[in-house]
Amino acid sequence: MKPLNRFNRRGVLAVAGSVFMAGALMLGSANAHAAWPERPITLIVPWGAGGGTDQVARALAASMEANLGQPVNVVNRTGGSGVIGHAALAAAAPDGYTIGTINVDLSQLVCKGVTDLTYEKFTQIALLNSAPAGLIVNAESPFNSASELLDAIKAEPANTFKASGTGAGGIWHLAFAGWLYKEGVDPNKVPWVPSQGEAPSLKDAAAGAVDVVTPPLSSGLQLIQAGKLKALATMGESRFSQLPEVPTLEEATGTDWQVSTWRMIGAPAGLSDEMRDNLVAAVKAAFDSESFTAFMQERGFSKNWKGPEEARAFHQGEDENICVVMKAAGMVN
Amino acid sequence: MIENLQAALELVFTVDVLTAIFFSCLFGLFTGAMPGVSATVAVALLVPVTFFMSPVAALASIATAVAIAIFAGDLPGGLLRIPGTPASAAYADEAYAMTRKGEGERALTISLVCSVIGGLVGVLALSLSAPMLADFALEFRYHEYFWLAAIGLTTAGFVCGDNPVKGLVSVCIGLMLSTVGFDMISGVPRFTFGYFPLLEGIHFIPVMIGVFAVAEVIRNLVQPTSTYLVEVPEKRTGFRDVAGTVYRYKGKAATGSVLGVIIGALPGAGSDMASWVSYAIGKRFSKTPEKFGTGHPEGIVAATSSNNAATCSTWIPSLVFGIPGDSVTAIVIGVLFLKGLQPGPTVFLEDAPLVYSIFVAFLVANLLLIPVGLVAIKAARQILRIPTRTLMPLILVFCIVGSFAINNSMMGVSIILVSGVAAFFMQENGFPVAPAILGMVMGRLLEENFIQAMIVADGDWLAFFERPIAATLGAITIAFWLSPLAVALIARARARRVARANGGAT
Amino acid sequence: MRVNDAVSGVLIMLLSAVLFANTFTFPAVPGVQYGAAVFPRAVLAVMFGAGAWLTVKGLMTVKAAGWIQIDAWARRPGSWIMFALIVAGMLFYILAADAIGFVPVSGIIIFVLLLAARGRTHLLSSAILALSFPLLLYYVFVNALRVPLPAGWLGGVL
Repeated sequence: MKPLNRFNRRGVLAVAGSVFMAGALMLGSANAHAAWPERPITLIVPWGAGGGTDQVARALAASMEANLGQPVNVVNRTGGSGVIGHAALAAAAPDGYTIGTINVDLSQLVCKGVTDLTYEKFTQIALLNSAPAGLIVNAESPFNSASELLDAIKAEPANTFKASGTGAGGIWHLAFAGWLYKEGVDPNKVPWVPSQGEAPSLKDAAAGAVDVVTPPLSSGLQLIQAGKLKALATMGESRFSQLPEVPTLEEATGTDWQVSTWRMIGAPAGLSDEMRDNLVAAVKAAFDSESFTAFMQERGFSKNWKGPEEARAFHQGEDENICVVMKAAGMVN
Repeated sequence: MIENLQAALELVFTVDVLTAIFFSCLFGLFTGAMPGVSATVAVALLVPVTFFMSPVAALASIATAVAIAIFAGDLPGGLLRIPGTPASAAYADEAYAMTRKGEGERALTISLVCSVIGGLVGVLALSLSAPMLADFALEFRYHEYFWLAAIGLTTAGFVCGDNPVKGLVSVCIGLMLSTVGFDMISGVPRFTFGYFPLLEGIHFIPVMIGVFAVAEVIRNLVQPTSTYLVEVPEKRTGFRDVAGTVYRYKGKAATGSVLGVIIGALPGAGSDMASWVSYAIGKRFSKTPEKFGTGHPEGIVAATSSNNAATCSTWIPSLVFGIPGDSVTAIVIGVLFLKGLQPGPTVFLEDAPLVYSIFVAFLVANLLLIPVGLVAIKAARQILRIPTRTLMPLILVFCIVGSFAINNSMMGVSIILVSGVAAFFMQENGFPVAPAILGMVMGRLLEENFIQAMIVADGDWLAFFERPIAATLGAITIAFWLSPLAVALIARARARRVARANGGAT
Repeated sequence: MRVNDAVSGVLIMLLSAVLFANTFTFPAVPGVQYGAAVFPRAVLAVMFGAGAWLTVKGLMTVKAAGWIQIDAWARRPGSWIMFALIVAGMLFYILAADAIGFVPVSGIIIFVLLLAARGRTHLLSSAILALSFPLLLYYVFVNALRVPLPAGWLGGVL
């Protein structure tokens, strides 16, 4: 019995000591700030911890925190394919203390009629990055250009080729099906093999399990450089800086076809102009910081800044464009 | 390889990663030594904390905690005859018998030395074979992955527990849990029963915390076991004596390590199975099998080197194919996904330094085990005086916090409640729960690769046997499926023959 | 507490049958050849078969082993009170933590469970653990790891 008591007393002392320390630390950090931000900022991420958007948000939050002297808490509100988190952002008080990430997925959900969260429900702060779809094949594929691939798809019977890149109805499926549609080919001629995401589909292309995949060239960069995959084109407006020899789809086939994924930071609608400018300045400073730039480069994410007005116009355009593509690809009625 | 190793060293030898390794080491030691808190529970409790670490620190923490906890499980096994972790169960009786002879410290020190040997062999096997295997696995397509997942689930179902049918039920429950939520293939919601939060699916980490930790809290509080520390005066143990004993049984340590590596590398089998098999084989090929069970170090040498070797090699199928070897690596795969990393052959090309930093972390952990283990053996009697029942309510609250932290919702807490109670009653009725976890982790992989394989082959079933590797893996899987049937048939034939022989006699 | 395998087997068959029926509510998606129901139905068929096997095997042992085996722990009412307290504690957390806060709720859970597990002789140490451990966890998770544990009543203090 004796040793037991001794343990307990010592344990209790240790615990009490750490609690005291904790209290002292908390008091120490509670300095008064007169100007914005005078309390912690919440950054809502509609996706799970550790995903691409979450990583970008956390890196941005860390840089913002260092500049603002107040915590920027990343809160993951997952569910309903992102509806729940985006809805939580739109419904938050427009007081400058709740911001969140907005993704291309939201425009797709709006088009499907799952939610009414259009660009008007938010105050856009800034676009952080966008990545255009690619056209990638196995390194030993007989095709060396987008037009060769297209000709083969047109010439061969249906089901000869299989494509992959994301789940059914995902953004990269849209990019591929919409392209075929625009070229006058029935999208169902090339069955879509749904996959968990970009990385698994790139792996499958490297193993030769599918004929073509459509994630961004930036995602496939390592496998392309390792000689396992071959990039045919990028579906962006300009070439990808790290693979300058790969043409855009328009250069390769003459068809103007662009599809991108994007991430922006937004706040609820009805934010005062003063507060918006505060947030834009804080996000811009973090965006330009060395640590955020290094992080984005390390993870292979591109960085493209669009300010608040530009971002709003872009969001509005995406709400419309994505829907046109989805209708063209027969994914929505 | 050299440049990757160099990059890995730079990644590991930073202040925050080393701090994480140090604390995980203490954490693994404490949790592994507590009866009722297995290495799996330790890792499940560690996961919520790893959310907030860099990928290298997170994986290094897990690797360290597991390597240390597997050894620490020997401490209560030897001193209380209650293995701290199932991998120590095979030789707990043996070590306890030595303790009763006043050789507790000797048993544990031998166990420590052999754990380190096994661990180092395991690290070597992992770091040499995984990259080679990954190169090979780059050629794997949907059909091969389907068969690999099937083999993993089959072994998991058959080796846990004594009734394969119950293991099969458990696997099926896990597979069904993985289907809840949006279906990836056609995007329709499944088994949500109109409940909105279920659309995202059931997160497997709360289920894991529930099944392993909460169920264990319930069991320990509801069925308390009284434990007695044997107070036999300890004989002094010199290092020379321990080294001599290990040297005498060096063959056992070698075969134990190699067996551990091989068993660990099988999808679905891990360190628990490795230690049982090595103990049994050690006994079978011993010159003095009659001494086994009487406090003889030979069996300890074989089994303890084996379970530590397996701890490392279970990471081979996990990293190379994304197919977990046991419940710990099932968690590891979950953590990799959370960190945005896709386990599979491409991770060796895209994030090679990270993979190598796991190898380095394992090496560091195994070397760290020597001083930490020696201190732990001296302190073991003190640690074991902390009553389990004082700890359990604290662990319960920790489980609640951990499950809440997954996505900051009460959903996680509800999941641990339901899964904890369910797991408690399942185990009471002889249904092993680890296969359910593996089923849950591999469910999507199995389903997706099956559907993808069907789409790619335009619905041709024969495609599952078209490529040579797929055909081989398929044949192995089907042989596994048929093996219980074959065993039953042989047993029946033998019984009939015996009956006939008896009938002939009368 | 171990029920006869026939009982578990019937439960398993029932569960798989109900879930199998549920797969027919999955909407059919045009153009999808291998739909959402294919895999669950295959798994449920196997599960039903395993349940049937357990039922048959279990019925063969009913005479020898009976319908239920109650172990020593399950005969003690104290065990079931403990079980009820653990479940009630977690339910209490789910229902009350958002309103009352993490620290008080988990403090109460720890205190009650410690008392139930160790008896009144350890009243003081139980109270100290119940006060300090939640505060420590709250500090670590909220301040260091940024997990928004509900502050509740102590929102202004902590």
